Amino acid sequence: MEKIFIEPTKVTPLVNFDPNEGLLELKGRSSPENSIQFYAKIIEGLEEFINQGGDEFIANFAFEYFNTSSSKCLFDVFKRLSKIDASGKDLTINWYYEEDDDDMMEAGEDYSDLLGLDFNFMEIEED
Amino acid sequence: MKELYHDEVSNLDKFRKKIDSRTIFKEDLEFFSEQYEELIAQAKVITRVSDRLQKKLDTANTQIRDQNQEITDKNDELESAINQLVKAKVGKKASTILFIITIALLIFEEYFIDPLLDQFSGSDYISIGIKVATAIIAKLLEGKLEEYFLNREKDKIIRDDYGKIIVKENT
Repeated sequence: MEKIFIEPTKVTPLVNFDPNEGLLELKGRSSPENSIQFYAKIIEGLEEFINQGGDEFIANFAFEYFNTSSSKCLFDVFKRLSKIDASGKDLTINWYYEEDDDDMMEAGEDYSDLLGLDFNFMEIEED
Repeated sequence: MKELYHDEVSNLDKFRKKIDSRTIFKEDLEFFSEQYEELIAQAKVITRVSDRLQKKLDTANTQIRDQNQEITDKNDELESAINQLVKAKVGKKASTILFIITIALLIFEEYFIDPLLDQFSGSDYISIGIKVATAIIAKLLEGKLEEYFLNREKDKIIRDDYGKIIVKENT
């Protein structure tokens, strides 16, 4: 299983996906020109983890902003995380949001409710 | 390259093919209804995210409008302050020039006109009259001189395309 590390840009988040450690981190802003292409490798990696990965998986999300097409791709990411959860692996999802950013917190709540996943909501100080 | 909703479109195509070939089983219908349910969930999440983005955009637009209004108000205040400053500056300049001219005229009158008046009329009233007339004319001229300097200063102040005040450098 291949590690993925992508430096953040103004329109793409930091991606740190280490399937061997069972860790996925997405942090920053997400409004790539082609969201499907950007998130494709992460989704493929998660599919692989479902079949071959370890017993534990931690996913950390700390978005400042994501656009509509990214929200669709994030839904696909959470769908895979839901499969990891359903496969009996120990799944932890941490959803970080900047203080006073209620919109971002509510976005996390939406994903959590709609996919039946447990999120740990963590408020962080603004940069 | 995959497009958004590639998987969903692909599942729909497969289902339609099954309808066409009349080989639909209960499992196919279950799978299709699951897919449909998931699409509804996606639509919900995406609509909420879009609504929030729209709200943020609206808030940002309102802030920009408020800031623009504030900039316009400040610009007006600045313009008014500059005008007052220019008026004070040119007023002082005009007063100084006329003060010097008046002094010069009074000295001239004292040393050149007064001896002539003493020689021909011997009355002090004409001399006083000339001095008073000089003072009155100087006062009247002060307004005109002030207006002249004010116009010159205004010519130095121009506005850019956005209505912002630009002060020309003295060359």
